[in-house]
Amino acid sequence: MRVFLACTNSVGDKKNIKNSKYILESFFSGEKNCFNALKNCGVNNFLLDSGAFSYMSGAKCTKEILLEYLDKYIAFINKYDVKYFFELDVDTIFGIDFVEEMRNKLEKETGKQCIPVWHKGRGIEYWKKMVKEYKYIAIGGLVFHVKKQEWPLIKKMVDYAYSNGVKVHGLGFTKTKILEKENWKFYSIDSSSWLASASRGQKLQVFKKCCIQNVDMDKRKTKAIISKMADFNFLEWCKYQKYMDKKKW
Amino acid sequence: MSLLKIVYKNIDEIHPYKYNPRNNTNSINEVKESIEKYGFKVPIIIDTKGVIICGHTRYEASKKLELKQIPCVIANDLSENEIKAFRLVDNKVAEFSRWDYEKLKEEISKINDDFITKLKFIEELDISDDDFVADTEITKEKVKNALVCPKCGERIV
Repeated sequence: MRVFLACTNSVGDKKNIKNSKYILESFFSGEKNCFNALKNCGVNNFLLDSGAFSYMSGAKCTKEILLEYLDKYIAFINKYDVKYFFELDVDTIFGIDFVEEMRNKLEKETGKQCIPVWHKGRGIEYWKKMVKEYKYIAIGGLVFHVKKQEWPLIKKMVDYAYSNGVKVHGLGFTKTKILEKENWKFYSIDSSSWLASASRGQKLQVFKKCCIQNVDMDKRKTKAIISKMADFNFLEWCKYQKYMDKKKW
Repeated sequence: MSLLKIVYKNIDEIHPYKYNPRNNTNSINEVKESIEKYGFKVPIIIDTKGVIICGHTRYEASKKLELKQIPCVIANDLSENEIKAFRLVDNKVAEFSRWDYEKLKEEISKINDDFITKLKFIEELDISDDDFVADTEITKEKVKNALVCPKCGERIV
């Protein structure tokens, strides 16, 4: 399983980035960051997220503005011959019809299939359609919209795609303990948890017993240096990435 | 390389390896059905004392089928150590193979056989949209669990 590390532009000591074999970067973070990430891991190990949802959340956005964003996204993909890139999955804002319209344009103008992103709102039949038409698909909303009791359903969906020879990316799937215990057949996942844990929770993470574990620190005794903690977490995730890279089904 | 010799052994002359680390319980019925349907096509490999090296599942399936004799190959050219190693290696090497799903789907489409359907090469997705929690329910729960400002009473989801 490929574990893509996201937000690598936030790694403090840039030398450390080379430790990550697979990198995901959001187009929302800017072309320069995307180019740097691509340069660090190479086109075969690079995933480009559209970042459209973040773009939409940040500003009062219209379809016209989003289409301009799409044009820039397409230009970047073509300029650097990006192999794996996600669609602009803004279903909840503009609806699936507009998402499909943008997907068609994206695929037509890049000459490549994108990675469509399934959200709960699309329904099961749409998942089946994606499995039928694509070789690499993704599940989004795993962080905020999928409830614990829905995990078995998502697992069934992943198994279904796997048995049809379709690769599935789990967007933001950071539940490493579950991955170790339950034989999830994701082809790839991504995580920025190495950064979020350090900057939001001031938590250290270690690769231990085949998964990532949080280490509680006594904040009264430890003066947290967030950038150093983030770099430490990043390197631990790189170890996990290496471990998971050997896991194949 | 010497030619393989297949011999038919009485089932009571064959013995499972006591320390076999492979648990085959879940596949016995499928192997039984396969033997019933297509015949016993892959011999069991045993040592000179009749202890199984490879083929524990076929042996268990044969017992269920009440077969009197089973085709065997006696590995009399291997040392004790090689037998122990080969027993593990034979199981492990299969794990490195992968399906080519495009070819598999194409091949399945050409076959009319219930057993193929039963083995579920291609998973079916027996879930529906109703199995999922509606997003509105999630929002309601988030509101319920929201932080409430003690001064102005505003709920922060």
